[in-house]
Amino acid sequence: MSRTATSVTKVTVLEKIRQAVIDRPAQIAAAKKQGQKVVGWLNYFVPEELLLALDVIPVRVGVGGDEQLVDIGGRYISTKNCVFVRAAVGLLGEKKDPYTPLLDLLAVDASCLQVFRLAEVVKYYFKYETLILGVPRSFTAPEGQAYFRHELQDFTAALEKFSGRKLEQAKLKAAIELLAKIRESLQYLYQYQSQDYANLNWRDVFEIVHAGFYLDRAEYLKLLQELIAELKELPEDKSKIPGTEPRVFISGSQLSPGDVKLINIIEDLGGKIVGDDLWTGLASYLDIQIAAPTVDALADGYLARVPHAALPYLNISTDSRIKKLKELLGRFRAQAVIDHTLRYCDPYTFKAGETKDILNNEGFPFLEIHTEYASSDIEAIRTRVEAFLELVRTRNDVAGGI
Amino acid sequence: MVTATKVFTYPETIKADFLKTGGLKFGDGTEVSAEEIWRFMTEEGPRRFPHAFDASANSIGKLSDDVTFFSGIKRAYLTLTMKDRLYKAHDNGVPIVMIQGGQTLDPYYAAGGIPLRPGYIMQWARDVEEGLNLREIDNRGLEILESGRRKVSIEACNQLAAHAAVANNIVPVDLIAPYLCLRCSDMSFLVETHRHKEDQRPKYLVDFPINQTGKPWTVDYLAEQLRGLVKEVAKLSKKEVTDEVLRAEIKRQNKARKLAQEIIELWWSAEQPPLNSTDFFSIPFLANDFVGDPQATIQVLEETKKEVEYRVQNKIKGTGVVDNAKRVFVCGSCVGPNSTSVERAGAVLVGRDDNFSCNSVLVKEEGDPYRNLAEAILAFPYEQPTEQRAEWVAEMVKKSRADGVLFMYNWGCNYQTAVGRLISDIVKDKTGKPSTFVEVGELGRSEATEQSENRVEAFIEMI
Amino acid sequence: MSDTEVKISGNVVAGVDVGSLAAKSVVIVDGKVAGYGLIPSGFNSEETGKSVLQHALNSAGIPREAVKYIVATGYGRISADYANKTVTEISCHARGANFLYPSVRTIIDIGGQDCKAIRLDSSGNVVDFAMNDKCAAGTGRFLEVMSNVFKVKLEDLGDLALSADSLVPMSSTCTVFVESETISLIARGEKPANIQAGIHHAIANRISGLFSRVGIESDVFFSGGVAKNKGMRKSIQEVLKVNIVEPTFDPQLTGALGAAAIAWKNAVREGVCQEQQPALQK
Repeated sequence: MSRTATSVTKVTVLEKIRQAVIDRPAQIAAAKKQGQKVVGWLNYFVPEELLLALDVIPVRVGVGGDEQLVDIGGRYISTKNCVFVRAAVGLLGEKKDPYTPLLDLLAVDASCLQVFRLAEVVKYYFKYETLILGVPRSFTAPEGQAYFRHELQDFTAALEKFSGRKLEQAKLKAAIELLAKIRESLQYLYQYQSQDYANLNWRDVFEIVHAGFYLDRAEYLKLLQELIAELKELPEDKSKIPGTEPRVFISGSQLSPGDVKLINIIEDLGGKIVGDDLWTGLASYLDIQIAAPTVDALADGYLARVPHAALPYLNISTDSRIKKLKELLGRFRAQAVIDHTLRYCDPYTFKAGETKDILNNEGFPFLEIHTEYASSDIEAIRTRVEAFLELVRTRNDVAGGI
Repeated sequence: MVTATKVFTYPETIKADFLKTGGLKFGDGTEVSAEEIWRFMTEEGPRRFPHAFDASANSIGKLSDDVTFFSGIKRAYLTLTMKDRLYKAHDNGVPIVMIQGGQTLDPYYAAGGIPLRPGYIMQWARDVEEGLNLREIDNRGLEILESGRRKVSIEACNQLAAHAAVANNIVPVDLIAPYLCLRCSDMSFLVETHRHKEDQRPKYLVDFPINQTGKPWTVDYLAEQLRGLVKEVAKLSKKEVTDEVLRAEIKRQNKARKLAQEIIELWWSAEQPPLNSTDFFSIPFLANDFVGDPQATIQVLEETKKEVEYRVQNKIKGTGVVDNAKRVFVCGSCVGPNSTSVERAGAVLVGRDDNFSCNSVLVKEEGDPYRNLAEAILAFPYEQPTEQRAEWVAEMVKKSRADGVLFMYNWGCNYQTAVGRLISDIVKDKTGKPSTFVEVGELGRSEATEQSENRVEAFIEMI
Repeated sequence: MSDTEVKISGNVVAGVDVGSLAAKSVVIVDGKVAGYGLIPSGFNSEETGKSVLQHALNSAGIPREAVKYIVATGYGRISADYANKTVTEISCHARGANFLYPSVRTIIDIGGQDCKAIRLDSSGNVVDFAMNDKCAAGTGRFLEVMSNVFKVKLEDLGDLALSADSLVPMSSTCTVFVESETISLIARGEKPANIQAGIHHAIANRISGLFSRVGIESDVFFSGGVAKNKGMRKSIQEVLKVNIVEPTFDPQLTGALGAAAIAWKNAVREGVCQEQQPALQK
């Protein structure tokens, strides 16, 4: 099988980022010796701004694609939970990866409630210290917003106690600025990869996003800026002929680091991925506007962005998640959508049908891929993706159709 | 047709005593005599709802065999006539509201609505057409469930059927407005599915702020959400809902909650179970769901308490319970074992964490009723973080002198199964009692349920 | 089916469909079906493909060398060095159904390992499709399991279901559930025909779930091996509330026929075959 993991032109900063990821666990271990604390976090609403301002090291926890971790996790949580949740329990229980042994605290917000259960389970069985951040399901109601401000204040107080530091406004301001620049850079890279003749493809950018789960955030920003400077200097990659590959957008819940089954299949079959709205991809970095260096402003900013699908929204015509999805399809010139959901991930699975209806009406073919980490369905997924790409090729007359 | 259907009948020998117990008074001012109840349960009921009187099948919704427990007959009457009352109320402009199990019902009734949990909505939906036997209503139920699965997903839990019944206008529901308890992660998504491809009816969600202990702002949040809920219901009922109205409703429902607590304590205190599992497990339902009419239901609870007191004093055992029955406590999500098969296997059901929870907390009667309700809801033991909930379950297991814990959950339930092992381990640790897990795949059917019954029976044999 | 007059023109193409349970091949000469083959799938899908192609050629009386273009489809398409091109069975079923019945807009295909709902346009292009998830409920394999439980031949299951006098409600969630439910129902003395009717209904329910995603439009065509099961046809018509067109050609060959039709189109486009005047496409 061919892999298009790296682009044709050697982008040197991409190699530097990869090396930095390899070096990162040792770096964190050294920082811990100097007394710094490490907070692993899960879900969608934990503001890294707070962690950085309190000088703790944030690590975004969770890997995908590892069936063995799923089996281990399933012994503690249930086989009716999605594989990401089961694998995360397995990961946190096994502690065989480079990061989990370094964690001093696990911070979890309650957007996805299965992840909240995960926190309960690992606290009991593996003795993690955990901190829960409540998230309002009535997130557009004023009382929901007030609740979230209180929750984040409480969360901050707990983090202050944990870190032994007081939150300083200047530090919070600096952290807000740093993360805003990271988000801006990542959005630039997403836009860049979707262009013809780009020297990076979506997969590279997705990998770069995941590097940001672990790297020192200031160092990460430097690397992103260096990378952008390099890309601006590099000659266009004229080895690719535009218009020969169907342009596919991946929508849905999440693909965590290591979950490459679907990505490999799409690329092997000649599809070009041009964007995503995954919460392990672009979605986490979109539209966070923090108006002031205060905890309340953080709360407001996080709550107002594109909602996680686990937060119910009862009026489809004003659902900003769907609106954002349509906007991204246009921005990345997508021709079709592959919707990825994990088995037992109810919020995304239940919404797949209506999302399909809406996007079909907008003229986008839509393929639902509902899967787990096991390799047993690779051939079945290949057939679906292959037939879908045949459909897109025929429909858009990409390279003559079938 | 199902072959050789045995029809369940109430023996004429009890009629005279039953008639002495008097009739029932309803919330809309109407009354029904004991004579009329008897007529319904022996003539009209069997004709209109043959499935309920099928004595040959070991069905889950079977009428209790304990015919001298007269409150049980009245309860069955309320259940079978629920449909008629709901249609009548709806025609008179009373909004019917879809909710979920395990929550308080005070705001809905105070605001002039009738709240129905998914189980009652499905009962109504299956009984729209009358004269059906067990197999026919099962097929009706399955057809509704499958239409929901087609629209949403096969991974949704059983509750989906009730949503499909509403979406397809099989029953007239005016508002979808449940609380989001900590019990269920599907409910919010299922409410959301009504936003697409169906008649738009009002929807409202009352959020449940998790990890609520020691956080006064969760009360503020929930109280405000409850205010919003009352407004939504009142918009439809056109009723003015003052704080006084809500306080009065809280008082009325506290009475039901207290009665349920007292009956449960009485039952637990008895040497021999004074009611069988079917009758005993119906008590928290009565006190929390009201079969669409709190007034009549509270009357039944009062009469139940008297009958149970009498039986405890006179050491009378509920029909169907064997001597020295093994005592099983039920834990988990919105599903319980088949009482009849549990008793046939030599056991009796002594408690259930799910719907014993919402009756275990009384709402304060003085002061801001919204805050009082919010405080009570946030104190429901079933809705606490899992370790706290498990501690409470362990206490209940001890109090009910259970011999074992049965953790049951519905197909598709992600959220209760996630902590099934955690609860079992803690309960085992605190009480030393064994436990087992049963996934129920039959999804609300009443026939061909041997699969989960076999597992329950094997567990009972083990203990 | 075959027309000896047109065989000699040399415009021969073939479609080969190697599925999980059976391999099928159709030979087209000058745009018309000239022969076909149907054999059980062996372990080696390359060999199976070649073998079924030979069967089809033999039935048409055409030598292997005469074949100008081959399209392979089905699970076996990944090892089909004999083919000029591989196309998924989804596109092939659409083309095959369109070749036979141009008015077909919806296809139900139940194969050995999966089932599919396909929507197509008037040219036989796929507009939308859905396939069942990894679970076996709703597939040919599942019916095979049931025929073992009932000790009835697979092809007789449908007739058994048709003779039911009532329908036992069954889970549609999981094959394992259904299998154990079935065993307890048999133990209770339930009529096998009624259980079978319940099972067929459960499978139809699973399949109808796919159509909620892609929609359904007349005419509806039922392809694949299970299409020969009359009980299944009836259950699907009841659950989906649609009429299914009566097949005039073995529905199990639809994929292979579509592959041959695509082969013909490509052969003409690439100039290895010439379209006859007037066009002979049915």
